[in-house]
Amino acid sequence: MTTFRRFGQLILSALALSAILSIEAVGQTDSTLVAEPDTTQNNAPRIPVITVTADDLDSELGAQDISGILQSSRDVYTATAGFNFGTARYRVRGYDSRNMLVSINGIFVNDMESGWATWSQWAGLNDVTRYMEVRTGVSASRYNFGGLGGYTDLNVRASNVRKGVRVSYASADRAYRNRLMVTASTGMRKDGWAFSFSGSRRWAEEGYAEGTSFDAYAYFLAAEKKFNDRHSISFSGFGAPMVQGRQGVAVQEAYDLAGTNYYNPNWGYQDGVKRNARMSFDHKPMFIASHRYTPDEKTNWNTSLYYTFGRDGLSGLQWFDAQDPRPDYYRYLPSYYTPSLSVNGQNDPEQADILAEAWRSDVNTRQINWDQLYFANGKNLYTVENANGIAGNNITGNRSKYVLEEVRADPTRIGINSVYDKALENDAHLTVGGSIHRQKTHYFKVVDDLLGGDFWLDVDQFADRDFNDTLVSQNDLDQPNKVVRKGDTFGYDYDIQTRFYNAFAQYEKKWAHVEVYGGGEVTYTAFWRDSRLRNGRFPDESQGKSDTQDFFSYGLKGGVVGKLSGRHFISVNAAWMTRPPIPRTAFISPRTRGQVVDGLTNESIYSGDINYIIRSPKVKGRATLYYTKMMDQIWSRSFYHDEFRTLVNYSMTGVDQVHQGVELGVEGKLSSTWSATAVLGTGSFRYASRPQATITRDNSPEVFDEERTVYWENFRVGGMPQTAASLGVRYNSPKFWFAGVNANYFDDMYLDPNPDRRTAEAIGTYAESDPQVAMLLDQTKVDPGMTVDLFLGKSWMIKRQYRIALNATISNILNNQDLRVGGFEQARYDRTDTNRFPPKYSYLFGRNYFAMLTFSF
Amino acid sequence: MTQRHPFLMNFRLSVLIAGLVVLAVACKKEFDAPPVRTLPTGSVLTVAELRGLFTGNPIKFRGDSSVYAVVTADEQSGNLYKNVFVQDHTGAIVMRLVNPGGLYQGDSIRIYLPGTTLSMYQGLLQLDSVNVDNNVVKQATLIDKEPELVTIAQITPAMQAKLVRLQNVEFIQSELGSTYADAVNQSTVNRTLSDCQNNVIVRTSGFANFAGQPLPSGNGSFVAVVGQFNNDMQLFIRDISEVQLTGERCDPIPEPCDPVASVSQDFATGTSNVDLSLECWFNVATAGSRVWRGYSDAGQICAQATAFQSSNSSDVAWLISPNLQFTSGMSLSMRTQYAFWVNGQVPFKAFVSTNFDGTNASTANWNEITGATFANSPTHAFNTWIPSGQIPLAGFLPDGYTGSFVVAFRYTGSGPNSQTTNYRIDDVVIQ
Repeated sequence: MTTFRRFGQLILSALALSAILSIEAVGQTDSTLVAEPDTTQNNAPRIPVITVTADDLDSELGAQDISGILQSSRDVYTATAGFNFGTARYRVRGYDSRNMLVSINGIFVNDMESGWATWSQWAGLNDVTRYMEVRTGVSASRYNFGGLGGYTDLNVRASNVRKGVRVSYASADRAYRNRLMVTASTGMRKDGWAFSFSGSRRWAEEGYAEGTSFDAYAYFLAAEKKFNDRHSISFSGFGAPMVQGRQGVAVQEAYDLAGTNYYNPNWGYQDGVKRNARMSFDHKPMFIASHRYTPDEKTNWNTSLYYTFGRDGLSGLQWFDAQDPRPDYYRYLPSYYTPSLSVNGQNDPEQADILAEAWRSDVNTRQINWDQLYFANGKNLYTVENANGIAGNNITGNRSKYVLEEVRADPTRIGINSVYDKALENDAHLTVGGSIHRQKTHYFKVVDDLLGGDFWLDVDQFADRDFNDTLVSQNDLDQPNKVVRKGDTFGYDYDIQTRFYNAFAQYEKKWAHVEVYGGGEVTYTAFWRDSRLRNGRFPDESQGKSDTQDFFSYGLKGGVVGKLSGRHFISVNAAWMTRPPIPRTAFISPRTRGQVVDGLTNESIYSGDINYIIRSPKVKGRATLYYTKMMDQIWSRSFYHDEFRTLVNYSMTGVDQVHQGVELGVEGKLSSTWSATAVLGTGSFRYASRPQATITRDNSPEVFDEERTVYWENFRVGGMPQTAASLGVRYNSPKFWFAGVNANYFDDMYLDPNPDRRTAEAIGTYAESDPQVAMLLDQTKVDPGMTVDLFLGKSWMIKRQYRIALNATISNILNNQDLRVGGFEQARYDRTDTNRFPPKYSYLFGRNYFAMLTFSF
Repeated sequence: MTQRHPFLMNFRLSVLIAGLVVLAVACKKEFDAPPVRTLPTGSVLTVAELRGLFTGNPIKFRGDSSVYAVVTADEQSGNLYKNVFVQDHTGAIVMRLVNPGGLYQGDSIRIYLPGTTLSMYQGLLQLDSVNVDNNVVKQATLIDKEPELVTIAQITPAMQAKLVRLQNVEFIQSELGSTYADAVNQSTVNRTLSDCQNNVIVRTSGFANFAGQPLPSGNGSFVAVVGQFNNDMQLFIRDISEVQLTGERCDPIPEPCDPVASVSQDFATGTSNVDLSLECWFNVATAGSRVWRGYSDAGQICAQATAFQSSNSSDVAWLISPNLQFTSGMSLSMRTQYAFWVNGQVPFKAFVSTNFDGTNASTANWNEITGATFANSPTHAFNTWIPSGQIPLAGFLPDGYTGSFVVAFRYTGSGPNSQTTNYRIDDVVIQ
C-alpha cells in the first residue's frame, strides 16, 4: 500500500513537473524569425537568415509520432504559437532569437557573434530533431542556465532516435515543393550499440514566389556505445547543404505595379532563363562526441566536445561607375517623378507614366536585366595601370561594371561542455556545469561571376566618389589597383574572434505542495577583430588585431511552484542578469576597421512571470503574466544618410526595451472525439529609453554627430504582431484519422522605428503644426488580419508492423494575400519627403499546402 | 555470426539508398554567359560630319550609324558631371550622358548613335541622351589626344568642345585670392583668364576636387576643353595638374601696401550697387558670392552687404582694412545701420587679425571685437546710423604687440534660409 501511494505521488509530481515545465515536443517558436532585411546595399554586416519556417515543422499537428509522455504535457499556447502564428512571424513574448537559447546534446549552439540560433544548420532532419525539449521563459533547466525567453534542447544521440525505418515524401508549394526523407535507427541494441541515420532532400525549381528556388540536402549519422551501466559514448554528425534563391522585399508601389504582393525584385531573365541574384549558400556541418557517465541512478554527468565549420554565403550584385542594376531602385519607380511633398524631387508626370507602363508591360524593367549587364560588361575596355601594386604592370581588358559577388561569413567553432546533475536527499536536485567555446568567423567577399567582363578592380565606390583620391579608395593598400577575377577574395577580409566561458549551478527542492529552484551563472566573453587587409580609408586601424573587448557577466534566477491541488498550479519565476553586447553590433563598421561603439557595456535584464496552470482530464490550460526589461543595449547600422550625403555608421547606446503581456491558452475536450482550443497572446513590446546616437562617416574617422538624442520612448518594437489569437476545433476519429481547423487573428504589428527620424535634428525648423513633423515621427502600424488553416491526417497499420500515414495542412485557406507580416522603415530617409523612401513590406503567402506520406516500420 | 538480423539488413539497405540520395550533393548551378548582343556599326561619321548634320532642330538618331572618337575630358575630377568631351581628327563634341560614369579620358570609343539626340543647348552643340552601356563600345584605352595650341582670341564657337592649350595666360588680379569655385556651397563659379589682351571665362563646378583651391597667381600654360553658354566662351579644366601658372605675370601685381599708421574711410569713391574696390582694402567672400557694395544713403555712399535674393545657402562677405602698424592707444570708430532686420540672424561682426596674408581670409586667425556698439534690432531703429564710439584695439591684440594688423568687417547671411538683413557701415576711422 505504501509502495502504491509512493508510486502515485511520483506520478503526480512527474505530471506536475512536466506541466510546469511545459515540455514541448514541437513548438519551434523562434524558428520563424527572419533576419532584418539588408537595407543598405551590402554595406551592413549581414545577419544570417533563419530559413526554417513552419514549413519544416511537418504537418504533424496530429502528433501521431510523438511519444506519449511528451504529448501528454503539450502546452497549447506554445504549440499554437509555433504552428499557427509562426507564418505571421509571431514571436513568443516578442523576444528575438538571441533570447531563445538552443542547445544540442546540452551544448549551446546560438551563434556567438549574433546570438542567433541558426536552425538552418540542421534543417531537413526533422525525424531526428523532433526529440526536443522546449520551455518558455525563465525556468529550471538541467542543461544550462537557460535564455531569457527559454530554451530548446535537441537530443541527437543515436539511442534517442526512435527505432525503425521511416521514409516520407512531402509535397508543398511554399519555399520548396518536394521533400524526401529517409531515417533509420537501430535503437539501443543488445550489444550496447545504437546507430541512426537520416537523410533528406528538399527542392523546388521555383517556390511560392517567382524567381525563388530551393535545393537542400541534409544528412545525419550517429553512433552510440553503451559500455556498461556507467559509461556510454556517442558520436553525432550532421549537416545541411543548402542553395536557395531568395525572395526580396519591396515597396508597395512595386507590388502594385507588378500586380502581386509576392513580387520579387531579386531575379531576372538571362538568355530566357530565370536567374536570382540573391542566392544563399549554406553548409555548416557539426560533429559532436558525448560521454555520459552515470555512476549511480541518481547521478548524471554529460560531457560533450563539438566542432563545426562551413560556409555561409549570400550572393548579390555589385557595381562600379555604373547605374544601379536593381530594378526597384527608387529612381526607377514612377513615384520618383511624382513627388508628394518634396521640394527637391523632379515633377515629371509624363516620365512617371512611361515608367509605370514599362513596369507593367516589360519584364526587363520590372526584373533584373541580366543580358544588359553582360552587354555593358562585354565592351568596357579598360586599362588598369600599375595593377596589383606593380609599377608598369598594365592590364587591359573588359572591366566589369557589374559583378555578382558572394558575401561570406564562414564560422569555425569548437567547444566543450560538461554538466553534472545529482538527485540529493530529501527531494533536492543539484546541477552544475560549465563550458568553453571559441569561434572564429571569417568575413570576406569573393567574385562569383564577372558577368561577361574580364576582371573587377578592387576599389571602394563610395570612397572613390567621396574623396577623389585613388589611394583612399583602395581596399587593399598593400596591393593597390588589385585586379580580381572569379573566385578571388576582394573588398575586405577579416576574422571576428569570440571566446565564451561559463559556469552555472542550479538547486531544486520539492516539498509536498511547493517546489522551488534557484540558479546562477557567471560568464566571460571576449571578442576582437583581426584583419588581413589594410584599406585606404583607415590605413592605421584597418589591418591586424583590434583591441580585445572583454566582459564579465552574471545571471541569477529562481522560481516557486505551488500545487493548489493535483490539477491546479501556480508558479512564479524571476531572473536578473547581465550580458555582454553582441559582437555583431559592437563594431561600428567591421568591414573597414576595428572600432567599437563608444561606451560598450554589459546589458542588464530583469524578467519575471506568474503562471496559473490547469491540468484536468477535460481542460488543460495556462494563463501567464510576464514582464521583462532589457537595459543598456546597443544598436548599430550602416546606411546612406541624406543629410550628410554619404554612408554613415549609426550607433546608439542606452537602448532599453520593455516586454510585457499575457498569454492564455486552453484546450478542452468536448467529447471523446471532439476537442477545441483557444489561445490569446497580447503584449506591449516597446522601447523604454531615449538612446544617444553617434553618427560616424563610414569612409573616414569623421564624426558627424555625437550624443544625438533619439526620442524613442514608448515606440513599439517592430517586426512581429504583438497580439495574436487563435480558435481551433479538432475531430479525432477512433478509426485513425483526424481533422481540424484553426482561425487565427493578428494585430498590433508595427514597423520598427528608424531612430534618426525621431530626433530634434530631423524635425529641424519645422513648426509643430507642419504635417511633415507627424510624417517623420508617427510610427506605422500594419493592418490586422486573419487566416484560417485546415489540417487532416490518416494512418493505416499493415500486418501490425508497417505503418502508413498521410498528413496534410492547407494554410491560409481563405487565400488572404494582403496580410503584411514583415516590414521595416528604410534607414535612408528624406526629411522633406518621407514618402521618397517608403517602408518595405513582405506578405504572408496566400493559400498553400503541405502534404506528406510516411511509411514506417 | 551466421545469421543476420532481418532488421539490420533493412537498416543497411536504407542506409545505402539514403546515402545515394545524399551523395548527389548540391552543386552550385553555373550560369552560361549569354550570347552577347553586338552593336552594328552601320555608316560611319566623323565628328565634323556629325556636327554638320545639325541644321537648327534636334535630330534623334534611329538608323545604324556610328562615330569613332577619343575621350578628352571625363568626370573623374568632378568638374564635369554627366558630360564627357570627345574628339577625332576632324572635330570635337560634348556628350551628355543619361547616367554618370563609365567613360575615362583616353578611351577610344565607338559611339553607336541610335537613341541619342543631336541638339543645341544655349549655343553649345551636344550629343544628348548617351547611355554608356547601350551606346558606347570601347576600342582602346590610354589614347591621349594632344591639346591644340591656341590663343584666347582664337577661342570662338568654331572651337567648341575641343581640347586646347593656352600659353602665357593668367587669372585677372581682382580674382586672385579667390578659389576656383565655391566648394562650401558646392556651387559653380566663373573666373576670368587673361593674356593681357583678351579674356575668357574659366567655369568650375563646386563639386570639382580642386574647387576649394585658390587661383594661382602666376602666368603660364593652361589646358582645358572649350564650352559655350550663349555668347560666352567657357573653358573647363579637366585635370588641375594641367594648370601651370607659375611664371611672371604680364599684368604684375602692385607691391603690397605698406602698413599704414591710420585709416580713414568714408567710401565716397564707391558707386551705389557696385562691388567696392578700395585701394589697399580687401573685399572678398569666403562662402557664397556676395561681397560688400556701395550703397547710397541719401546721396552719401556707404558700404552695404546683404544676402537678400542670393541663392547661396551661405554668404560670408569680408571687408578687410589695409595693413596698419599698431601703436599704443589705437582705436576704431565707425557707424553702422541696418535695414530689413531678420530675427535670429547675426549679420555683422568685426575682427582683428595679425596674420592675414593679404589674400585668404579663411586661413587667418580672427579675434572678434567685442563690447562695441553696432546697430541691431530691437535696440536700435532701422535705417538709423549708430556710432560705435571709440573702441580701443589693444585688448584684441597680444599683450605688448607692436607689429601690423588688419580690421575686418564680416557679414553673414543666407538667401534660401531668409537670413537677409541689410547691413551698412560708414566713416571707419582707425588711428
